[in-house]
Amino acid sequence: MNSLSVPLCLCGFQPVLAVLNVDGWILAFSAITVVATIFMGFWTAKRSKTASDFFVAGRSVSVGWNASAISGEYLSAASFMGIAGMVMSSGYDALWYPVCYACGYLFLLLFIAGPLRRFGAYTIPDFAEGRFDSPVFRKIAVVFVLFIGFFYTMPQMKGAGTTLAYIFPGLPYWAGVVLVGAVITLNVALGGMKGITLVQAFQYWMKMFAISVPIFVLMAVYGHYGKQMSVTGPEKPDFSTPIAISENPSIEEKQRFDAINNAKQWEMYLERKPLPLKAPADATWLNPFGPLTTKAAKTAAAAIGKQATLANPFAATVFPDDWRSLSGATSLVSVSTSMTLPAVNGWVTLEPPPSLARAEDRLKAVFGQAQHYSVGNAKLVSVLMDYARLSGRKVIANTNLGLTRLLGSLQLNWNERATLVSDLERFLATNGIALRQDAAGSLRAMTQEQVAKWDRSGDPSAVADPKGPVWRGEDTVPYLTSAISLRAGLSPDQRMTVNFDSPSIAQVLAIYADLTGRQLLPRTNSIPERVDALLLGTLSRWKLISPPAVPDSGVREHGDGAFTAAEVKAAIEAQLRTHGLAVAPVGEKGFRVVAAEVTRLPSNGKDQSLLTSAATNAEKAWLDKHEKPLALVYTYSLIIAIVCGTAGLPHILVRFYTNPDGTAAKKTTMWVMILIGMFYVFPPVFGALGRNLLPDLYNGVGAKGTDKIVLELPRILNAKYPPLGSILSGITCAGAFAAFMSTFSGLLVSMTGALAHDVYGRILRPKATQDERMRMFKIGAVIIGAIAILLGMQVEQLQINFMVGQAFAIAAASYFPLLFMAVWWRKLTMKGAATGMLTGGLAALLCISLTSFSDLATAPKASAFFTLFAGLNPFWAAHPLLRILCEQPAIWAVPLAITLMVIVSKLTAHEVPGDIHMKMLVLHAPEQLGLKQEYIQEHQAH
Amino acid sequence: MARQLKLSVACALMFLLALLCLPLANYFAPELMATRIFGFTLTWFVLGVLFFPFVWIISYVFIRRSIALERAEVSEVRHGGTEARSKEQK
Repeated sequence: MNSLSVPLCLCGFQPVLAVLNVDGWILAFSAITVVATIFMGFWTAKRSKTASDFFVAGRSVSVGWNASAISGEYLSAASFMGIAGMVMSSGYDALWYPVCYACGYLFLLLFIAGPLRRFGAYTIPDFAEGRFDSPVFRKIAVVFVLFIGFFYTMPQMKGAGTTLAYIFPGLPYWAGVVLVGAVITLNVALGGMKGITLVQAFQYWMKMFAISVPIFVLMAVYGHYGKQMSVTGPEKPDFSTPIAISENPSIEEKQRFDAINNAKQWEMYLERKPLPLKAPADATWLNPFGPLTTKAAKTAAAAIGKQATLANPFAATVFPDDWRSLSGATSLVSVSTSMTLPAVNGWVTLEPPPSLARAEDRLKAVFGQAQHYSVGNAKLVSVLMDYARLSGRKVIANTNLGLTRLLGSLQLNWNERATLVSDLERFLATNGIALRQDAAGSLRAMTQEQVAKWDRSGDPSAVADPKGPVWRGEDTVPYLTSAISLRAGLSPDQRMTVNFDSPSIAQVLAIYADLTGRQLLPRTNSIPERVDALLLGTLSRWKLISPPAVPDSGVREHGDGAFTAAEVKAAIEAQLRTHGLAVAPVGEKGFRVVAAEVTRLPSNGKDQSLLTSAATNAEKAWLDKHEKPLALVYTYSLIIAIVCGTAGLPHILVRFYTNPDGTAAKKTTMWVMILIGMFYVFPPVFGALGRNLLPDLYNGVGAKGTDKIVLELPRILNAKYPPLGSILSGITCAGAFAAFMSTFSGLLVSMTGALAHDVYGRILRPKATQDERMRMFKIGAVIIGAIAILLGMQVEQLQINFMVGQAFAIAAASYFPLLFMAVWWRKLTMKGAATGMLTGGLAALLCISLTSFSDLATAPKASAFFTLFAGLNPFWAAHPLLRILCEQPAIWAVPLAITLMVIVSKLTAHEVPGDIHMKMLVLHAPEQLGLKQEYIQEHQAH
Repeated sequence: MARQLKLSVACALMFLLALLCLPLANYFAPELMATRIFGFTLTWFVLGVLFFPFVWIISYVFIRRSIALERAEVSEVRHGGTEARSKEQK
């Protein structure tokens, strides 16, 4: 689209670019970043001569350089792209990631940074061996460096695949992974650590520039952060709609109320694009305990709801006890007063059922030739519904009238329809409800104040078009009614007379049972009868128990009468429906009465009413009780994982050895905190802006989903100021390249270091020469790069940020306890440390793999390996707490590791190294005292 | 070592208090945390904006105190000889 403005150097490729639909600016910026990185790598490669240069850059990097380099290495694809994507898709809960990524450094600073540097070892395995005088422990530590490293390379690879798929539309995800992985691997094999330090310091500033500048431009054009946030939550206000707040407002309602009453806020109202159905609703997105932390609970609730609609006759029924106790004077209405109408904002439309035009006749048909219209404990909504039915007109009621409130008993003479209608109007008026006709001819039920307002403005159009669900008397849950038909042999046209003066719920349901040939379930809630039901009626057949008789259906006459069987059945269903009840089939022989609810679909303007059934009811009840506590557990586990995991990431720790002394290591950490803290303010802004400006991404999956918001968002500027959008998008692409290149190279160096330095140099060939080690470093880089690429190709479906969180959780359960305890507890023994680290780390690894694999099993085109784990999903649905503890294991794995360390160390107390006092002194005494001692002496000689 | 640890623990407690109390506040006082400030909800503003400067302050204070402590130790050892050092070990 911008082929005219493609930089000179790319002019020759213009036709090619046009065919591939590649944006020249984006390609140019990305190419420059990659070339500059590679050039710097080669340039510095000439200058890194010794093994010491390769591994830890000769330990002579200044605080400023080192802080920039650590930050550069730390700000991975997860930070650059993943956080923005996750904030966009999950909202508030995703904010914990950037905060804890940054704050985890504080833990590193407080407990680990200084002592570790003073100890003077190259890598974690060096530290493990030096602290415990144990070569065995070194091997264990090496294995863990590789494990955690691989877990952490996967999200970087996903970032690479996503970015390349964005730059070259049509390029498959795996190709991007292979291409970028190969380039970086080559670069590391040739450059080594010294090159990486320089490159990474440069890359930090590159990333900082790339994330902040586009944000400032976007905010200047489309409104600042706070403004963008203020639109999220309340819907666009309708000033003509009377706003009131119900007695017990939900948070969502209250936010909306506040926002709408604050007229000032709406002066700066921003235009939002409509959210697609897949996007979380504003309230769940904005508030804590949203989609991320409540996913397990939601899955569990859905399973419970599904179960409730299946053949379990004892679940989710409306009647708590034996329904036969509801006989006598109890009417349908009084039963339904225990139901609540769910909050629907705006208007509810109550329509007379068109198929039952002669409404009063139908009422009489069901309720007999009563002399009175009589309702005990009438609910406003039922009175309005009856009014609509009797007058044959549509009634539109404002939900803030308190539709479920009770108006008391009502008894009117059942004379003529017209008198009954005016009597009902009078009854409503005494309760403060007026009915006015609007321009469209519908009747609107309003409070007297609203009527006064309407009269003042003199403009009937001041009342907005009805919004909200249309609620017809005949509406029933489609699934539920279609599943229940008249009993075999009963023709729908069969005429009949049903004769009741004052029907009880039991009698009405008995008619229904008679018509459908089904039995109302549960017949009872008493334990003996339940057992009887389970034993298929054996107990009652043997006369061990005697179930009470089913009430008389009262259907007196078949073959003659004013109404057909189908009409009577429909009328009963309609009557139930009006009172928030519905009938649900149970197997072939039963039905039960459940609560039917009106719920809203999120921002789907067309049909906002969705009638759901017992499923929703059971689901909701379960969620009310369990959702938030589970989400709280998830949140805490996430915090622990990231905070402790930061302090245990191997590729970050190795950087501390490049500080000249412990004080410098501490100062470095402080500057790292400031540098990354500044950075982390920005990615959530991308997420918030993306939700308002580019919600289409919610519909994408894999590399085309919200993970690419950082790359894609600046491009919308092209609509106003071309080619600014492309330039800025090019800059963020360059930043993304910097992000996954720097982290991936850092990981490669630390993993290759472990392989070459520990596995080869220490274990396989201790007598290897310097040159052999250097060669091994290069070969190792290629091997590890290849494995990382293969792993990266598998994870397109997982979110970048989520995968990083998992790597952190494993590090938190293994390295953090090791480092923390080894630095601060002198009685720690090798066996204790190894047991704790291995158990914690492996348990976390196992649990995380299980949840990730079972998630991948449900993805489209899942590979055969992952589908093996699909069987776990029902288990997770049944045990949401276990699912959370497996997905985020830090909350139990970190304490487990530490406890094991303490217990096993106590048991093996005699194995505490003899020179432990000296070791603790080296770890903690200031270096000016000259106690510093290089544990790994041989490399210093070179 | 003991004094360094005490300092570290004090700073860590400050930080943990803030970090662990925010979810509790979200849990028990959702209405309060949903109050709007500059367009943000209160809880979003605290977590997404204010938290970073708070951590900088803690780390800055810690670095200054910690380096001062090291200096004090060095001068103590240089002037007090080996006694101070052996005391340090206990």
